[in-house]
Amino acid sequence: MKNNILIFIISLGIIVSPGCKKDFLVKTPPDKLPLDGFFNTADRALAGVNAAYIPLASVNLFGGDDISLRLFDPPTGDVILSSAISGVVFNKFAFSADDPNLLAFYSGLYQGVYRSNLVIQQVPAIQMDATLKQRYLGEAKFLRALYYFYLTAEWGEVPLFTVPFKDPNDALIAKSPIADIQKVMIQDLTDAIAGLPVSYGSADLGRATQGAAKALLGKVYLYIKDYTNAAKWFGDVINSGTYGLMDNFDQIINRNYENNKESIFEIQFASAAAGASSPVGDDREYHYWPQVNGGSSEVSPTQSIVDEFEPNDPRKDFELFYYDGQPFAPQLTTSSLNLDVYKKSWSPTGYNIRKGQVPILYINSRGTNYPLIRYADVLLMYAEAANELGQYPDAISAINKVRQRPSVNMPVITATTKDDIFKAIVHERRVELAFEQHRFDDLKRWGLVDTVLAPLGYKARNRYFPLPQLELDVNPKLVQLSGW
Amino acid sequence: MRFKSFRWGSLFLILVLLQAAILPDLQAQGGSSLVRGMVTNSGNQPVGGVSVIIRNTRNNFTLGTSSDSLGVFTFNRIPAGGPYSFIFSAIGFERQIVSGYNIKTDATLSLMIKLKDSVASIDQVVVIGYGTQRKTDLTGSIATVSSKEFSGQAFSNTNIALQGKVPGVEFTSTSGEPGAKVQVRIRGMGTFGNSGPLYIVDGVQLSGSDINIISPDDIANVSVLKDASAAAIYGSRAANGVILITTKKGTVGKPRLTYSGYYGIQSVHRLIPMLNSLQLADLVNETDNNGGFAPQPAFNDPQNLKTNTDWQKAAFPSAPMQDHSISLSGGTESSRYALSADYLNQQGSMVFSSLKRYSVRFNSQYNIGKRLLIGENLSLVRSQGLNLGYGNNLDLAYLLGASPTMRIYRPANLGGYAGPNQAETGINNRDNIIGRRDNQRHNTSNDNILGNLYLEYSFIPGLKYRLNLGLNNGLATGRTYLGIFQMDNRSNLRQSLTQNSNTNNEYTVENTLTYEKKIHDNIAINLLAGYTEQSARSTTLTGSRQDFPSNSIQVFDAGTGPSVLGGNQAEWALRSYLGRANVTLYDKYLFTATIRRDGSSRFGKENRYGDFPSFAVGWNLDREKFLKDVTAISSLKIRASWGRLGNQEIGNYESQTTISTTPQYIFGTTQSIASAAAVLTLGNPALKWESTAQTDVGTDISLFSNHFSFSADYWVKNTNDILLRTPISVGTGIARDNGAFQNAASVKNSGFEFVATYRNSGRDFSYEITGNLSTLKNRVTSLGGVPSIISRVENVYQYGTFTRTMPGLPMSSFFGYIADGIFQNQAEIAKHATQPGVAPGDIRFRDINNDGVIDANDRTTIGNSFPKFNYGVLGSFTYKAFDASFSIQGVQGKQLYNAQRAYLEAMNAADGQMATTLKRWHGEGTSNSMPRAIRGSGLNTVASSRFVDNASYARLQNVQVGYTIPPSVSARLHIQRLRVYANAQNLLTITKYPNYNPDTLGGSGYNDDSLNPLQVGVDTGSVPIPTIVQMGVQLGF
Repeated sequence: MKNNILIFIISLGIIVSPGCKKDFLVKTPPDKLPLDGFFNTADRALAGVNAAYIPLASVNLFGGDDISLRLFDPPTGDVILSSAISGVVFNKFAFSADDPNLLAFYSGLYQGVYRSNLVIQQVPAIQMDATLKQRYLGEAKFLRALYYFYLTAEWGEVPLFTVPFKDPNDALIAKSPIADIQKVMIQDLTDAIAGLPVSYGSADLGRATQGAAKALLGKVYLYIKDYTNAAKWFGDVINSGTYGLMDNFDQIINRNYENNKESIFEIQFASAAAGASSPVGDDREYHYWPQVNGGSSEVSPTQSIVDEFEPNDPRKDFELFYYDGQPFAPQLTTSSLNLDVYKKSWSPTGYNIRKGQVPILYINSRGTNYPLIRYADVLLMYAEAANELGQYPDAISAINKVRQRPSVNMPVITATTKDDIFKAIVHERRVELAFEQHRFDDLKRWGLVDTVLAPLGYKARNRYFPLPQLELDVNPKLVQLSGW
Repeated sequence: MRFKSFRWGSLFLILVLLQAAILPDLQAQGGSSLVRGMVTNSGNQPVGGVSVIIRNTRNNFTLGTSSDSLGVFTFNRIPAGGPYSFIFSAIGFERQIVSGYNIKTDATLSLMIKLKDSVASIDQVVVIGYGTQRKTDLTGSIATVSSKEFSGQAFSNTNIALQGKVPGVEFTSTSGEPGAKVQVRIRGMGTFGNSGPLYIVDGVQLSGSDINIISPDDIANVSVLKDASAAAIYGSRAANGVILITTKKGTVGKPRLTYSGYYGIQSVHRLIPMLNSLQLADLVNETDNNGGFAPQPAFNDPQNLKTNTDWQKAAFPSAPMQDHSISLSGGTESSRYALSADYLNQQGSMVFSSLKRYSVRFNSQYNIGKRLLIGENLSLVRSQGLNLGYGNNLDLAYLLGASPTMRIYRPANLGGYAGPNQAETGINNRDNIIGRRDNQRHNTSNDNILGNLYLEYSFIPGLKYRLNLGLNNGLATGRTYLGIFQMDNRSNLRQSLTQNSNTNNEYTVENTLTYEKKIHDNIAINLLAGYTEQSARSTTLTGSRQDFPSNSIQVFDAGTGPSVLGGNQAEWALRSYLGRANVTLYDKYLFTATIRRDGSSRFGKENRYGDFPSFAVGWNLDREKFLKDVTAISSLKIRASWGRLGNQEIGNYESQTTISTTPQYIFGTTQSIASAAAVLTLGNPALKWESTAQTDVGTDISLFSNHFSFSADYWVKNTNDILLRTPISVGTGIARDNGAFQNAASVKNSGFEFVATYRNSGRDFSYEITGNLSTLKNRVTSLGGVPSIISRVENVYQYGTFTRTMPGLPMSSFFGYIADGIFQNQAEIAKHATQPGVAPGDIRFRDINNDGVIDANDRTTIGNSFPKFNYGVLGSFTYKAFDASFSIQGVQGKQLYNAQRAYLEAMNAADGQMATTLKRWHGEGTSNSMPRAIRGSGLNTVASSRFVDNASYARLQNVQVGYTIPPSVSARLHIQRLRVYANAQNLLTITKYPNYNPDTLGGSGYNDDSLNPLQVGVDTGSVPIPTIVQMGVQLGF
């Protein structure tokens, strides 16, 4: 009996101890694969390319709570942030290097750079269809140039990475001269133009196209004031016949007309149908819409932008809610809620943004795509370059194309001199591209920023955003911009 | 000397004979008799588990039993005769011998025994890792708390019961919500990861420190292993200390039934004084005016200014709580059992929240023959919560930031609640939190099975094998339904349902061999060797769907809208070898050595295994000749220990850099999701164990026949190779806080701990007073070359702050500007260093580096949350049938960064503001501390010393008064014991801290007891801890 018990116990002890298993302590993530050796098929290359788009739609840049809403339009005075939203300091240049929005935007851009770099480094070695490989590399190079475009436009000189880091400490480097970064952007876009298709099938709409790369290359040249090349590439886009203006201004940025013929490159957001946080939608509606419709009216147009519109410019009605009785969202009216018409009292300034918001749905519907480059923008940039080159008729014609969109149909401009044409461009861009986050960069490019924004508190140091303080704290080689 | 306490015991023997007939002159006769008795402590509380031995001194007839949970013991069929003596011994009490009883045939002998508490009684046994040890033989620093120290108090979390009772351990509430977790820091913070201790219940590790699954009623005692010698046997998980919980067990005797229950009312008294409608309107108008904005009609409408909604009053109504517990226990010489059931129902002190908990526990133990012992513990717990974890800082921002001009109810709205709207609240868009919590209900349920099955086999006397199979299975589910409702501007026109479930399975297999032997009269050895394995897997599943035909239809299948599904899984495993040797020489010289070798799946191949040794010595000085005759000294021990402990509390898969396919992007007209592959976090294959070397020297003294006892400890804990995600450059493309873990930092903690107890008793009364005090010094000694880590602590709506961790400073020191008064006029601004954007009435910041400009370089250390000392005072008194107890607990020299106040004194919008803003600057000389009101300005709310508050406090944690009805009365009622009591918890807090909870360490969550140590001390708001007044009954049959 005693021995039996003993044997029983010993055998029990052995049975329940899984100790013989050698791999007992080897556990691998059930949902992830190791980075080393991951990129080995065309499918995985594509997954890497797709990942490089994501930062655009992320909360750091243009998606979710949308940092870009704070950084670009509020400093111009076209909109004002109310106190409920973070980043009110962008209203009057009161922000500092500590601002978390700046760090987020800066991080988002470098996230894009890293993911593009990973594709550019890893994909060439993959055995796959050569055309497809060129396309993937083209997409990654377009995106890398796009991210660096924003980095250089908002911060000037920044650290330049063209290969993914091996060790995080590889990122602790000094800033590169801006010319070096521009060289990389130009080369990337040149390669992208060669590798990218003119257009995609319906399943791939939203990817970078040859036209997008040309337009961005033109924009890069425009910012370095190489007007000849700028005009060349913008002209290429215009003459390609691939793009055109939408007749109806309401359809340019519209959830029912996404990736339309005016769209050159736009960020793809999921409509409410997906219902999830991933992929992210965009909270632009929430910030723009009045509280009565579940929004917050935290981003409100100011008197200044309202006054910019010429009398009878139909774009005022397309882009703004600005008078009591303006049709709002009759389809949302219920027995207890009258949303038939707009009321100025809904907004702290008396105005709400309408552009890109119609048809107005209930708040959870976020998900309208957001254009980064559209045809009207290219026409006006072309006009700017042509004007600088003395090609006035070309410039005037491009401006008038924008003004004479069927639903806008404003009279042609009368300007003939370089200065007057330039003034027309300044006005036209502000009105046509209102709330599309171009004006702050435009004013800086034109050298008008000091005079125009001084009343709002603009000082010389505001030419660029300060480098995020937390980044300076990590990277001792990074030197803050002067004045910050 | 050795038996001195025995002599004392007999001196203090209080023997009550209920039957006058039973006196030492009982006649010896031939039959058998019954002996019954009851054992109580000096406070007339019954004592269970007391070993009782009856012995006929003439013929050496001996029989043993033990008292049950009501303190009752019984011997059946005792041969008549005598004289008999009885020996009573139990943990925590002096041994007592009563003798000289002769027993008659068929008679019943009744005994009432009052045991005397003993701090240093040589028989006191303490639960240690993988065993027990006599207190006199201990070499480590172990604090014990027995259930009687928190009996009858109302709480849903046992950690609250320990608050203030264990020196060197800080218990801080994360929230006043029912069942909210408690942050426990044993001897400071020595890691940048999870600083919470390891919990072991009857030999089974609790996952995720979820002590909530144990009902406080089921706990017999708690041992807190503080030093390395005590904790090192738990090796890799012991760096933050270990808390061992032993549950109540059955004892020999007839089945005993007990009931205990209470009913209490919770109420929140420490409210924050806020502006009323008129005062806020004044402020908002001033804010708008100073900011250049037009006045808002809402704050100039006389009707609105009369609304005066007191949101705090509405959100914190009085809330009842009750608990009922029944237990049944008993046993024979060869088997024992205990069964208990407990029901807790607690309404939250914040509206629309509640916790219900049902638990059942069972344990039994069987002796099969003389060598084999088999037993088990099993506990089943189900808890159901409503809106728990939603009292976070977001809800508090809604609650406190809401406009007093907003109404609570509006019957015309679907759902019946009002909400923010332009006409009444202007730009203030804070929710109606009452309505929101009602309309959006978040239900949680937790089912937990915790148990173990063990067997012990004695090969030869002293050599024992033990197999322990532990199981901890949990299923946690959550369910949020958002119906259609209208609350003015804050309406929801679309239903959504979200459900999630998290299954957690943990298994433990422990094989241990112990060998105990007295080699020689003066050499005792106790050896332990073991091999253990532990593995865990958790699986999550989440789903959500939108659009349902009605608010009352709340299941996925009935939904018509889009749905989303998600889920994941994680595993870890630990394999360990352990050993311990205790050697006691001449009962005077004590030596302990332990070793544990742990292998963890969380580390890469190269550094998977870690070794954790410890050594300790003790010296019972009182047994030396030179002290033997000093009668004042009852016992005197000095001890010293050193050991190394580990920490593996990082994520499960941190040694590899991986590609995640979770991120997605949309392409195409159908907006289909395109898969993507991205690196989100970095791994480090060279990761190894974090190691903590801890040294402890201490002394335990008992004086004047144990009337007075005193312990002191000094300890130093050096933690090296701390597993740390140092912030990385975002230039990498990886988020700043998602870099790989590095074995980067070193931290030193050190402190003193003192406990002193005085106890005395007379015929009708007894009392005991204990005081404890502990200090803590925390210094970062190295960050592996990184000059400092600056961490941003987010708070709702931009009032976050920074902490800086750098060598030479305490961890998580507050980092910001020094607020140096207020600019009274333009001249002062001109005279001061250039501070961009300021106007008179704004805060003046100090130019730390004297460069004439106020910028990021002028930020400095502005405080930290480590207190100078923590203290507690506990007292208990009995007088005849009455008893009373109290506990006071406090912290001195603590600071918190009050980020919630930054929001409530921002004065830059129309949000609800604290009444302190009435004293704002409104012209030269009007204030030098509260700045001006100006809409849209962030200048005065940047992280600065303005919001560093003194959070020292003293709290009357508990007061209890009880009455036990006399045995003569209870006998007539056919009950063993009846005690009624009244108890008040958290009755009074003395503090200057202008926010709800001075004892918080920060963090935003109900479930957040693993607060990021780099963000400690920032109070972003938490639900106030209520005062609980309750009446209770303890009844035994």
